[in-house]
Amino acid sequence: MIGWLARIAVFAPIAAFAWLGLARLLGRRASERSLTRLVSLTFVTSVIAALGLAGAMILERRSSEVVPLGTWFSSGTHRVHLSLLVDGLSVPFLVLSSVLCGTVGAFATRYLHQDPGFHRFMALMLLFAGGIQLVTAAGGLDLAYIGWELVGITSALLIAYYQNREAPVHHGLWAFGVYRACDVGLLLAGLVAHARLGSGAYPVLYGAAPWPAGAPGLAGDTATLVAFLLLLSAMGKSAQVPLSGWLPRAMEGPTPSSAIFYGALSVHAGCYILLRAAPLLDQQPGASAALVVVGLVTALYATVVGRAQTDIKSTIAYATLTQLGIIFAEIGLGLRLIPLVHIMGHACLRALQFLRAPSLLHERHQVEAAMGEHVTRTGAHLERHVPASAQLWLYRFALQRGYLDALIMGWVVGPVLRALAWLDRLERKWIG
Amino acid sequence: MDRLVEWASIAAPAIGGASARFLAPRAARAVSLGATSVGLALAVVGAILVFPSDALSALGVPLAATLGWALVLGAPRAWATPRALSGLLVNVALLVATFWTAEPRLLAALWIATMLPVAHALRGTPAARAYAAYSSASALLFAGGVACRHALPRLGVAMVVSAILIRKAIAPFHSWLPAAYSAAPPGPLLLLIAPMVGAYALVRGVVPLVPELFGGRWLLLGPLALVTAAYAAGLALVQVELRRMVAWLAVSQSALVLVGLECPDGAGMAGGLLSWLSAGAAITGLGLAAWMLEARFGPLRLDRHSGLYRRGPALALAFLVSGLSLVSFPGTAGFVSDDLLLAAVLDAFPALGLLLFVATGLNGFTVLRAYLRLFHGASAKGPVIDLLPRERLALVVPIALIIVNGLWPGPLVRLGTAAARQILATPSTELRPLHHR
Repeated sequence: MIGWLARIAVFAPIAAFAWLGLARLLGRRASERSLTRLVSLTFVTSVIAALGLAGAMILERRSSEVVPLGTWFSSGTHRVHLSLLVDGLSVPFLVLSSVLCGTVGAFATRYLHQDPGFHRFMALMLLFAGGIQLVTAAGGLDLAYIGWELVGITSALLIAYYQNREAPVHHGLWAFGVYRACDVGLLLAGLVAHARLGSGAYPVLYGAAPWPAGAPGLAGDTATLVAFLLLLSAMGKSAQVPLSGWLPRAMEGPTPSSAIFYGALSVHAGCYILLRAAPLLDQQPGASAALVVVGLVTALYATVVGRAQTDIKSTIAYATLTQLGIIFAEIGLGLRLIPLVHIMGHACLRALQFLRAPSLLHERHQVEAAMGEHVTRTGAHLERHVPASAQLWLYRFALQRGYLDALIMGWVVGPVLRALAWLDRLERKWIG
Repeated sequence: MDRLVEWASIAAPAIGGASARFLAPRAARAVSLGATSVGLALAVVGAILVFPSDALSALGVPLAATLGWALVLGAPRAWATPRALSGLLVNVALLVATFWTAEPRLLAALWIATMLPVAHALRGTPAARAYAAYSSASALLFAGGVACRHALPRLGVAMVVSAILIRKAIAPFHSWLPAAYSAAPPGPLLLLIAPMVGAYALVRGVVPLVPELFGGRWLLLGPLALVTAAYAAGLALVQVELRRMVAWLAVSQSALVLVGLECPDGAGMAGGLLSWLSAGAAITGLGLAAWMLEARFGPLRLDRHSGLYRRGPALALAFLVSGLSLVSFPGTAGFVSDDLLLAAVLDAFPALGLLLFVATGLNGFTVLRAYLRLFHGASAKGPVIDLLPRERLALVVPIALIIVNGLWPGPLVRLGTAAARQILATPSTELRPLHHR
């Protein structure tokens, strides 16, 4: 029962996406109405299954259950067994992600009604939902990586959703570039686990005891390496400093995708992977300290930069980033339940804020009309404590978003691209 | 029985090619399609018959036949003259014959013959001379290596390996491929690079002869291939012409296959063999999609936005999916082969193995960038000229194969593992005779 509910919750969106994709490749195109029905049915099914799963776990008093999906493939000693893990960490996330995907999906059917990209959006939304459910319910790093990649590609394609403009393409590629660079961390962590333990399954890697307890299977330098690799992958997905530049850029996408990706679920995937690795992090003071530092620096950075943003979606993005930084610090400090609750509440709040963002001005006017005066500006009490000379510098720092993108472009990406272009010129001179 | 099927799978495209030359364009396409379809069916039957005694041919023959079928079906009408189709089919027959044989002298003859169509296609272009130099060197080295394999075995192996490096476009012998691909029509080039005859020759001829060199790490093939994979991935990233980008991606993928083949353990070699199949199919898919785009819209550049989505939405989808298949996206066969490959490579080449991550990461970015630049941006004016049904079929079949094998990779991995075991277990005394079964 538990196994089937978990399978349905995770694979319903993927099955719906496969159906849509196959029909599209064969030249069939569903009407907007039937597509809306399919999406609604999928998410309702997923939500019911996730809630049923939570209920079954409570009624049957299970704290943890591995749902085997079988051996995907094996060659020699390299075997990839896939499984789902339903426990006190994954079930709340499954319920959260299926409910939020369903809510945002329902919102999008109205928000994007008769939009030329309606079909594309819904297909990507289903694929994303499948990806995030895989990350959430994966029983090991292999399946988590598959979901991780699905989330990455759908994120980039939805940032570039508005096809007639060039800026979204640039921003989508920027986000995808950061994802690709950091995804290596998760991939390598999985391969190291396979090499050392013969498996990337969580019960082997983090111990069989119910989360957050557990005795990690790795020790010494290998364990430290895996912890830092997971930190790298989480930093990319959760936009931690110095990789934060993609998050405000991602606001180019349509509002429903901003809500589900950058307010609710995608940005919390990094926190989830770290929470899942709690038994490993408990034994890695270096990695935990790095988590705290990265988290606090990100929170401070986002607080400062967020104050200078002039559009609502960027403001919410930096507010999200502040909370993500705090969640990172909480995980690094060894807290487990608090970051879990923090993520759940934060994801719901941000999803709601993003969905309300398009009508913000209208609402503000209503509030001001009711009050008969302008709404008081907040934050002045903080600014009073900053010296006037530093205020100007901080303002510029905030306007330039901490110069992070310029630093990455100028010191990392730019020189590499110039070197490659020089090599290309040599190649052309050599033969043509 | 299996011998009969082998000959029939070679004869079907050969006869089709010989007759297509004398027919009207429409009839030539129909005959070519019929011949390659029959050839493909026979190739699959032949592969089933010879498996597991000859798993390597069981991998290569259906790949070559599928590529030929997809090219005949998907080639733009302007290019697919009776003469061109005839040449394509004869080339397919030669390739199928190549993958059936293990006899060194015959392999050498076919090695040379399968390089000639590209030389013909490049006549009068700036890349013709360079291709002639590289392909002649490869032909001479291969033939010379086979000729002196008894008298001077080490020299023979070195010559054959050098010939393979040139044909597989492994650095520093790689420059001919991007130049040729951007100068000639993609059809003959795709038939030259996608089936990866070099990989077949290596595992069929060289690995069994000198197994101690593989995994011994002094042969330098693995490190060379790793550097090539990353280098080509980097250059693919900065290309501003679609064709050259596809060519550099092909170089990178070709090198990745070689990396797997040099890994000492069976899983790594199985990964290399599977990568050969998935990359071969995916290069064909992406190359065909790019060819269809250029047939409609002319040469395309990647340094500006073309906004073609509105004019060909199905083409956009096909381009994206075949591109993602090439860069080992989850759910494609390439993901499975890369998983096997990465694990083995990190074990065999711990430091240089990281280049493999660089290559796969960059290639993924390059494909997405190309897709977004080609199909996004201010909408191109003009009518919708999307995929024709035959083009759709030509793209859907390779893509479907890649995805089905990516989601349910068990049978293919078993095939690759069996082939790897066979290669590693073959006695090292001599290249195996023709039809060693």
